[in-house]
Amino acid sequence: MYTKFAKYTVLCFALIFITGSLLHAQNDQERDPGYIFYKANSLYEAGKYDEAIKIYSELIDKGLESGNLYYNIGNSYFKKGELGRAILNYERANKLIPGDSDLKSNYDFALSKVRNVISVTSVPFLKKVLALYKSFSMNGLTILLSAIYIILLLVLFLFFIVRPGVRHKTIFAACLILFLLLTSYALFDRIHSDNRGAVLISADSDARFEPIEDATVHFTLYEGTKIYVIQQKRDWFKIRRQDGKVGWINKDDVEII
Amino acid sequence: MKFSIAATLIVVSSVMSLLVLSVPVSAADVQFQIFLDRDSIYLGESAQLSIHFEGSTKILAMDVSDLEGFQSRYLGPSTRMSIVNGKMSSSVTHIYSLVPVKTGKFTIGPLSFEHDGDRYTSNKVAIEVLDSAARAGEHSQQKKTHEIQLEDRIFLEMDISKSRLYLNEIAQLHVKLYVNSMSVRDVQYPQYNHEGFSVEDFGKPREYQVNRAGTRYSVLDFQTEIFATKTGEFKLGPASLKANIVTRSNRQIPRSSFNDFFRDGFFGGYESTPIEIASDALTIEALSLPEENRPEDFKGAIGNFQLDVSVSPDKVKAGDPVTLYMIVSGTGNFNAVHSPVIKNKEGFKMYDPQIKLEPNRKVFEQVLIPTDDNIEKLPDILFSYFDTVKGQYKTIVKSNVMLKVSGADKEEITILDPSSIAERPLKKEVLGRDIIYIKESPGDIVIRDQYLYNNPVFLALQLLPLIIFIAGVNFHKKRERLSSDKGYARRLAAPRKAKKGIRQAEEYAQKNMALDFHDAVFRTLRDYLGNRFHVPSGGITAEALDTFLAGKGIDKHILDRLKNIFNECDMVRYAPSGINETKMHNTLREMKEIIDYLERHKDEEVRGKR
Repeated sequence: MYTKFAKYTVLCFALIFITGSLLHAQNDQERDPGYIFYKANSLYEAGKYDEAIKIYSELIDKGLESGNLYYNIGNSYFKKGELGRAILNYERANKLIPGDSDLKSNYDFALSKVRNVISVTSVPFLKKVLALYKSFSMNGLTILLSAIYIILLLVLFLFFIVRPGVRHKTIFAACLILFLLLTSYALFDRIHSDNRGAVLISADSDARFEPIEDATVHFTLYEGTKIYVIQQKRDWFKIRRQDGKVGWINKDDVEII
Repeated sequence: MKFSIAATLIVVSSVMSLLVLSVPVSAADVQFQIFLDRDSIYLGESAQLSIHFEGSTKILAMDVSDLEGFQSRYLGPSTRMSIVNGKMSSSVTHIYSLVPVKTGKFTIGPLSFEHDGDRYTSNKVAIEVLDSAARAGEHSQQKKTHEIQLEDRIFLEMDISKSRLYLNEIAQLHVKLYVNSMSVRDVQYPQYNHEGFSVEDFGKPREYQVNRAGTRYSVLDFQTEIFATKTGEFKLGPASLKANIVTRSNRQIPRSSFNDFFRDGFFGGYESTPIEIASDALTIEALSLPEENRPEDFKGAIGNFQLDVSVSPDKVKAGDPVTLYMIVSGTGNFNAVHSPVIKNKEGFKMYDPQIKLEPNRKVFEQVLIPTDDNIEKLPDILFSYFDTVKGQYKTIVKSNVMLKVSGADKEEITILDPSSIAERPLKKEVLGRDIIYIKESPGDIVIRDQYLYNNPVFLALQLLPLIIFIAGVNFHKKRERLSSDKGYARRLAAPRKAKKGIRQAEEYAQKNMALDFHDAVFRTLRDYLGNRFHVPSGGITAEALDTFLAGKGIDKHILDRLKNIFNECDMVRYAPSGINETKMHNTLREMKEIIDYLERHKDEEVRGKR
């Protein structure tokens, strides 16, 4: 009698333990970013773009991000027909996976759908030089800068040790310093522009001369246009278009990259 | 020593050579003789003729090509020089191989030649040439009385199947080598003139034996096919053939072990003699084909042919291809056989035939596409040729070759012309465009807005290379100063060395070794002061302290204490008994305080200088 009771007790505990473990495992799985990502992918494959975006955004809400995540969100928005948000997410992906060919293809294709693309004919020399760093992500650029800095110190130390041995050492060191400065500027520019870059997410928006509803319209921006935020005042952003034109637009019409 | 012997030998031999070469050949010295290595020989064998000149080695070989009854071949010279009892003699023998071309008795010589204006005449030698056929029974059979030529034993003949040929008519040409009672090897393919004829290469020759006028011959039969390419009368040949006659060697002179090895060692005393024999030419008449009754579809086929025609498949739908097989077989010149002619091409799309040439037949495979669904049979197929046996044209007609063509199912029949397809302009391909599919994996998931540039650990790590750099520079500078500034190096080393000395003095104090203790104290202080002020340590004594430390800013009280220690050390050396352990510890403490003071004073000095 006693033995039978003990047996049932052990069985009950075992069942409780197994059920608890399974529930815990399920909870773990649902918190797993990989699982969430794949879940969203399956929704995308089923053509449920809204739901896919919602699941993808769970990861963003958890304070996580990845280039592929933004890429997939961008694709989902594109399929939904929200060009502005698609380009916005492609821009965000570009910060993390700038060399990705799929991303570049989709970004270019999305841009081709933007009405009235502002083309810039003359690009300043410095911008052209900075474009050489385009394939570096933010962290990649930081590591490059750190590497140049270490190499420069090493070279200077070697020059210090073997003073008369190296010819043209001044020119060599100067080149390294120039490279260091240029990379520093590129990183600075990237940080600065990333904090200011934005994309118009509404269908179209009028940029006005003043941050007032009935102010004169300066120009019109269309969905997906990339702009730079210069200043913020109440519900208004002072923005600069790629061709240099400046105006005030409603804060709700844009989203910071 | 070795060198001198070798040099002597070289000099002697050189002098002797010069002497030999410079000896003038006078007419009286030269003797001219000829020898044969045998006096009888069989047809097919060779004899060796030696023309010997005694008294000179510089006489060149003579031309003996016109010897009656023989073909000659120069084998080479043999020279000899000797010195006997101080008298030098030299000779040269030119050796020839003689191959008899007929039987009989022959006399060679006397030969003559001119040298330096003098004429020399040799002796003469006789040789009998016997019939090789009688050799087997030479002891029993009677000798034949009539003369036998070499040509009777080995000869070449040309033979052709027809001497009157039509243009392009094939004839069999034979070139036969007949050999009797001798061995032949290394037989080469015959060469012959064949202007006006197209000839094939000879195949592998056939070997057989024939009996001809009571004589048995071995025959090597070279066979090929020829046909005339021009009309008229032409000479075919003469054919010539090169071979080696294998003869028994009976060499007597010259003979060496090398000759034995190469001539007799392997082949049992046989040697080969090259020979070139020629046949008579043939006269061939090439006729043109008659114009009379020549069929329209005649394309030059000549011979005796048959034609077989079949089609596969024999039931098709209009538009489907069929293969027509036309096989021409028989005898004749297949090079001149062209595709049979399809009389009526209406209702068919036809492609050029594929041609296969096989032994005694030529196969034509032609793809046809019937375009008419009312076709029941193939159109008539004609093949015309000239029958060389009957001397007239013949035409083979193949009709009633069944081909049932039915209508196409649904699709419209379109016969595509490749040329028009090639010329048709290509429509520009329009490629679709859309976004590329989503990523299957999440990639590197990181915390949002966390970058290396705002990561404090990463930024702190950036200081590390700078610290290493500064430390490295300082270290290098210090090393450089230590190697260049001796005073600095000594000052830097002074407290370290003093510590070592103090430790040693402490050990002596604990062991109550007064003499060693004071010795260590004195040495430590003296070395320290020497290093500290960069002066020679050896000269520092109690009396000299004032001089050494003058102007160094040392407190007088410290100076006095220093002097006391120095004096104490001097005293102990002479009277060590009055020193106990307490006293030694006091002295040690004093020394430590003085060194400590001087070290601190150094820092003040540095600050004062700044």
